[in-house]
Amino acid sequence: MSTKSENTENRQWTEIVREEILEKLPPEKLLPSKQPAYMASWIYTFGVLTMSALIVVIGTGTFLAIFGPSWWHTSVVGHFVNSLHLWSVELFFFFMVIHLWGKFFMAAWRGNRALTWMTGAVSFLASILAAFTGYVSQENFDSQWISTQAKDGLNSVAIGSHFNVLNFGQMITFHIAVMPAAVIVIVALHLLLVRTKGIVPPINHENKSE
Amino acid sequence: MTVDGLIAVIINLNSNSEIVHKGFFLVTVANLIIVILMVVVFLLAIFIPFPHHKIVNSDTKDETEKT
Repeated sequence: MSTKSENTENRQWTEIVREEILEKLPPEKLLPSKQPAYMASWIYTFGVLTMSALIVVIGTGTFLAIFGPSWWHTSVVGHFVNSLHLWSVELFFFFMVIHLWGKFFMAAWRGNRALTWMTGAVSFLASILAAFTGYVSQENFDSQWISTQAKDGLNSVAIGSHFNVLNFGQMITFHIAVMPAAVIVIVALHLLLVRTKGIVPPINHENKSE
Repeated sequence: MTVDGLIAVIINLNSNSEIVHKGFFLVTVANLIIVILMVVVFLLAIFIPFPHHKIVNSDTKDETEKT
């Protein structure tokens, strides 16, 4: 771009960042009005289903974090929100695993999409840790059983002193602050990569176009 | 009968988990049902045709291909 090279030293950093963002993430790619015909398949819907479940997980989790264990264990509404949180997590993993299978058998890392695949895989691993810290933060016999079993495994790999599953304060902080932030950032990056690189075409579609 | 009571008639939540164990394969029945359900939904998602199938013109396809 010719204007870019002109007067570079006089431009503000905000202008440079704005132009870089608009160049890499143009609005027509971020919110496209058309998609390729091969997207008309149910298997392409599982990414957005996973995202939808994640939104419910975060929404219900926010209420649980605000009102605390004494609310989610004793009140009727608390029980309901707690159940919504659990079942949205179940659906989140259900949809995410099917999304993973679909993309794996489609070899979705084709066409310079390796980073999209890797961010998806890392978000899966981060989600497992987020879910695990949630299971040990329930404040019931189930969480007590899981944490006392898990501590032996974690101690055997010498991380028990840093990541103490019997420490409710540490686990709830991981569960409501550290891991959600990590999952949201990685998922956002994953989504941006899907938008910029485009959805992966089926394998047969590539062969036909060659 | 309450909804909780009705569910308790179908699924006994107060007993030990039912387990399927064949050699190295060890899984609770609950987890096995979830895995089977996921495989079924995966296969349905591949084979059931998507409604309102709309052919998009080739210039949109090319736009995606070059990215």
